[in-house]
Amino acid sequence: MKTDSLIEQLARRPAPRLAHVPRIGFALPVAGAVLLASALLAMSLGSPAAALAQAGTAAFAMKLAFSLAVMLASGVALFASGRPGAELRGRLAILALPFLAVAALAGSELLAADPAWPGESWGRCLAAIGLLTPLAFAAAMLALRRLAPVALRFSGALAGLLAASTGATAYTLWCPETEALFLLSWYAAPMAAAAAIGALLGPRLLRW
Amino acid sequence: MNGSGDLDLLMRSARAGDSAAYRRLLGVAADRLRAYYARRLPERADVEDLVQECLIAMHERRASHDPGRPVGPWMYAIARYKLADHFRRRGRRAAALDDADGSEQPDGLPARDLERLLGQLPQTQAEAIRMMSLEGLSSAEAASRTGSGVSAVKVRVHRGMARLRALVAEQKS
Repeated sequence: MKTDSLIEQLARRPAPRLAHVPRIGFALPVAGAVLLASALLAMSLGSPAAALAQAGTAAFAMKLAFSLAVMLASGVALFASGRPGAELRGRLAILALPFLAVAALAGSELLAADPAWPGESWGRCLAAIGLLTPLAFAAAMLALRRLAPVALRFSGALAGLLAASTGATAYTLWCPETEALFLLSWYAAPMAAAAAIGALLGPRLLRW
Repeated sequence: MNGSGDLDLLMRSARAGDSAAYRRLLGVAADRLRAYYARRLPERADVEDLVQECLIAMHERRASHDPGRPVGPWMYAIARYKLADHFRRRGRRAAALDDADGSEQPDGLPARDLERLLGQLPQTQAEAIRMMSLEGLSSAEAASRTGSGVSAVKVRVHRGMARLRALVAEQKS
């Protein structure tokens, strides 16, 4: 077919202004994953009241702040990675901050006292994040559907990070632990692992 | 050649619903993409294929363009991605052909006989079979190249294959 007639066809199809607002199209599946993850945890673990009381407000705030910061920063970076030609460096630098903060806190815990490790509920934490991550990863793939990632490994890694931090954010309500070392071992490390798996899957799942 | 501000102006009008501006935008983009690929690919036909692929990609994924940023970097990033994809696909296809070289043709049918048989089919059916069964394109790729629907291409391959089988059976008997 001639390129000119292709252009005619494309220009005749739905007017370009009909392209929906991409940020909403991106955020909706991710928000849906957070809600679904919370609902699944509520169904399997019951009320979060006991765990919240055990952890206390400060520890809960620390875990929520870390998970939410990673989720938002990786979401923003993933969205940018779906726009060819977008600037990414600044967004990646922001993504490193929560990890550095938690590593610093965990380091100070190690210096100050002999912290309990691996922590009482590490198995439950790992299972929750491990089971919720694939679900949130599917949502991230859906979120990228109308965008155009050009570095597939990189976008895959960000999607993995977003997925694991989405699961972690939902799980903070049910997590009774108080230590930053726990956060580093059972929140941050699984996020890194999910990023690695995402980098492997990206080229297969994100091609267009 | 027009300045790069041109593409941005056209995109702005297109976003406001001006479909004539959108058509011009695609036209200017096609010229730039053609120049881009002509410097990087030896085959004229590959250049035009990739230009078209990029135009379709830009159209289908136009939500990926940030209205606050210039069109050029977005367009060339897509062009680079499609070029890398082209090389990867061609690498795979070349490897598949290498594998096939040593093996015997199925039913002992040499290539020139196949061409002669294809010549007896209606033009559209022969073309569809060449693209999908010989070149290894997907039905979507074949459809966009011929400008027809995916199901139409599949039907042509199916009918063409049935006709080929009948022709071969006729010859054998």
